Amino acid sequence: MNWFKKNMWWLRRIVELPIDIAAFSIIAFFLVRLLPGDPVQLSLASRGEGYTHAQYEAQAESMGLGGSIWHQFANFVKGALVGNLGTSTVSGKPVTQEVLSRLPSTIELVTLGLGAALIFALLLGFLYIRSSNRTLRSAIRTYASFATSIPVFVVAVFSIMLFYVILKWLPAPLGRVSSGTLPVVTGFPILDEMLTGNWAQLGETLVLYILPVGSMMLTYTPNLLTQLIGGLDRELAETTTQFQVAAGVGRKWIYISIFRRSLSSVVVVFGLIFGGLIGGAVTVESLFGFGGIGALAVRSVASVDFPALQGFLILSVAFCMFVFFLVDLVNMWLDPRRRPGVANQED
Amino acid sequence: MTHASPDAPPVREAVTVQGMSIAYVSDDRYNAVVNDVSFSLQQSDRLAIVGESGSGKTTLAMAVAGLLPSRIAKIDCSAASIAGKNVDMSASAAVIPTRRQGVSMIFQDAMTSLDPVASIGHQFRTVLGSLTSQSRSQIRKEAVQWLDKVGIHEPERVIKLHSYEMSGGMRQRVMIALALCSKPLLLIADEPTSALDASVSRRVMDLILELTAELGTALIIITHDIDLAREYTNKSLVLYHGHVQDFCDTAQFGDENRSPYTRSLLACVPRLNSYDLDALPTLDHNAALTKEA
Repeated sequence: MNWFKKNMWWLRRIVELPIDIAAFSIIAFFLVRLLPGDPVQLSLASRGEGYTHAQYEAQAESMGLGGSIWHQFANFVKGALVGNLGTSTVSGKPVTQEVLSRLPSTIELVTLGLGAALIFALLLGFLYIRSSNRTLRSAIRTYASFATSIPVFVVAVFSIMLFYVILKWLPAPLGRVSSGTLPVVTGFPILDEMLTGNWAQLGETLVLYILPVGSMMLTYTPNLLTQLIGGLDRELAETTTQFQVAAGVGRKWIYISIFRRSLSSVVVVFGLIFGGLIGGAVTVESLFGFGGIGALAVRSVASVDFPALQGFLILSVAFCMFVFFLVDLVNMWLDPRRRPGVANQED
Repeated sequence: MTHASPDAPPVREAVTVQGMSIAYVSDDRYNAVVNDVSFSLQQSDRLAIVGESGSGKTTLAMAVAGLLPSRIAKIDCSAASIAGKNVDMSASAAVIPTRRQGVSMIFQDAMTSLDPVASIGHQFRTVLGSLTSQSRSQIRKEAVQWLDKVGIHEPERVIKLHSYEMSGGMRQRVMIALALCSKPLLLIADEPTSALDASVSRRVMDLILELTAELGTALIIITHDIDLAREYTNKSLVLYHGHVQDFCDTAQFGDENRSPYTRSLLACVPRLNSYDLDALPTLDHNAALTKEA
């Protein structure tokens, strides 16, 4: 009982997670059907001949779009409970399979790009409180002020120009070498290359990743860095820090404590950008010729592919909610005052 | 509250500061806050730094404790020593200032002084673990002893708590234990009891006095409470606008030789017979200004 009470803060969130996802799935089902355009009409029209009412009904039924909206909804719920999100009206493949074959490569790219940005921001943040060099400190602050002011595709285009066109140091941005040539184990390209021991191809993929990951790192570091520097400046001026120095706390511990107290907004912004990039990575992916989840979303909107679109929405939102869940856990771990119910104990 | 008796061991110098001036840096301009302050303390001494708000009391104390980095303040000091060893009192260039060896400081509000995200046990570990190479369990034992020493019940339970889970008086006691567990030569207490109610405040002052006497730690108390200074200290430094008005034995606080400002300050302390007066006395700022000129 005591164990449950102590760990309630994360157990409750795990229970809530599927409920949130289910609620969103229902919203997604109805929202998608608000799209202008009739997929059944569109697919019949593409055959270039007229059609009868009976043909329309038959086609709708075969696409899983027959009957009233409530009938469709019942079918959708029945399928969703066993992990079947319908069949794409364009490619004819199961939506779950189509999304899950693309989502991992996008997650991998975003994780590497944002992970690099996080590490770089932490490094600069450490220099910011470690170095007494005024020029370096104001340079770090200036870099942080670029936050949200330069879009990632500008950085990406410039880096392609510089490193591929002018310097010729890096290969053409024509996608991953491995796509289609490797057995899919997990769907994460780099992980699969490691698991199958394909080291030569892993090297080539890593070289191809330098530009997109580098562009994302340069673009998103300032977003994280402004949050971090704001927190560091605040905590440096706190009495807590002064007391730690005055009480004789070791340097190492003072740094750890200041970072721990400054990190919460960095973690939140990291989660927000991560969520945004699951759909938004399509710009970077198409610039570098990578296929990803974003391309699928664009295709399904253009062709009014209801099942594919709602499958994309549900699975990427489920993933984002999982990321936000991790963000909350990390923040509650960093600062126990954030755990639900803790604030009530204050006297 | 007496001076060292004749048969006591020879008094040892704790801290000496000569000609310390401090200016805050703002946009490459300097605002002088403390001007040419000198004082000297022996290990058995308890000094009260008395003055109004903005007189530079806290700034002076922070400079002595080494808490003012050079991007905030400029410190000039002709000579300073701690326990007989010469010390460079100039502001530290590092962003996080380095501690003045042997000087601890406690603040008015323990809620904002203690680390809000770390347990009490962890905070002891960051101090004791940095000073000695004790094992984790030894450090824990010593931390429990310290909590017991500052009068905390069930120290074994309290060591697992965070500062937000304790009462104000407990937090203050924990802060005192953390500041003293490194056995400093000098403890600076900046308004240590202003945030506490009268009865708790008295017990906390007694505790500070008892522990510093036991450890042979000299004490500086920053306060605007003249009665507290009279009761708990043997020396007083009166500051007005960063200038020393008086540096004397607290016992001689009321005598004729005091500066006009100090006498004016003392006159403002309400007494039991204050209601007989037509108007309460107010500070005579001209008294201090004539001294400055």
